[in-house]
Amino acid sequence: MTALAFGFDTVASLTPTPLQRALAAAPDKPPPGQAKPEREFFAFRVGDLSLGVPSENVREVARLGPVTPLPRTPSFLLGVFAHRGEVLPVVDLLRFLGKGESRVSDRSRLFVAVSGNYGAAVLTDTVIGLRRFPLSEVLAPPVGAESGVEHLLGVVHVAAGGTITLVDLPKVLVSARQKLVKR
Amino acid sequence: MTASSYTRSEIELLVFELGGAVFGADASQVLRIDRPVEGAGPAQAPGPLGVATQGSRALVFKTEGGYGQLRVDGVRGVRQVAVDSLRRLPQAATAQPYAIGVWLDGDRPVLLIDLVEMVRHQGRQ
Repeated sequence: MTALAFGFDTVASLTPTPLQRALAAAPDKPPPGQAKPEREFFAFRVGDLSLGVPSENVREVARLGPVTPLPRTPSFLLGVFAHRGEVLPVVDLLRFLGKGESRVSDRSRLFVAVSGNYGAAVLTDTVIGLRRFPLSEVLAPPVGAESGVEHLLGVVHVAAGGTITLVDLPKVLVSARQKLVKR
Repeated sequence: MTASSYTRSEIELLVFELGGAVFGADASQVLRIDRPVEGAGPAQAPGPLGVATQGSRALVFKTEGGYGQLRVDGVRGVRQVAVDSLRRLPQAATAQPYAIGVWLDGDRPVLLIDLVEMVRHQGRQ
């Protein structure tokens, strides 16, 4: 009896269950054509807008410290700010995009943006966090409808009927520098 | 305020106030602190660094063509600061050529002004 029972158990353990068979046949990655390419964005609020920038361009989030204004610079450049011994320009995205102006308060935060050799601190009211969006859900920005549209990657709809406007941060930094040099 | 006071690791800055902001300049550029000369225009005239609220003092410095003066609201004094606490302005914050960098006074950046370059720049405009 012992030998029979032992043999029965051995046979049972060698027969894979339907789930085991399915898992053995499952691919490691989604089949080509089925994968939804995604991109991660750092989302934040400033003024009445919810904005997102590619997360690879964001180094860290910091509290806003003393900002020293620079003479005769465009209004979107609020000044310079010292962070861990590094001096960074502080950019108001609302002014840059022509959508009003940010209000600086005790609750203001900024994120350190980097692109190539350029670095800047960007003013925010509230940090939403990191969000991944399928690229197929990123809608094209409204062409010619608003100022600053050439600096947008698109718009995504999120829960509760809201939208997050995706900003091409490297392009913003390059354009900002060009505007400063022209002066 | 002489060049001899310069050492490799420290530099003397003349720290002044203008229009509610604080600036620094190389103390070796400043010959004296004086009252603004007559005929130098109204104290509240917009200058390259903003509008002085009082303009009751003037920094006098030598330029290529003679002497220049900058009306300021107050002089905080000469500070000997470590070169380690100086920073060039970041690339993305290219400002006017006379805004040459910042001194980190703790966590507060104080804009550093080249007074001679400021006059030269004004002359070009």
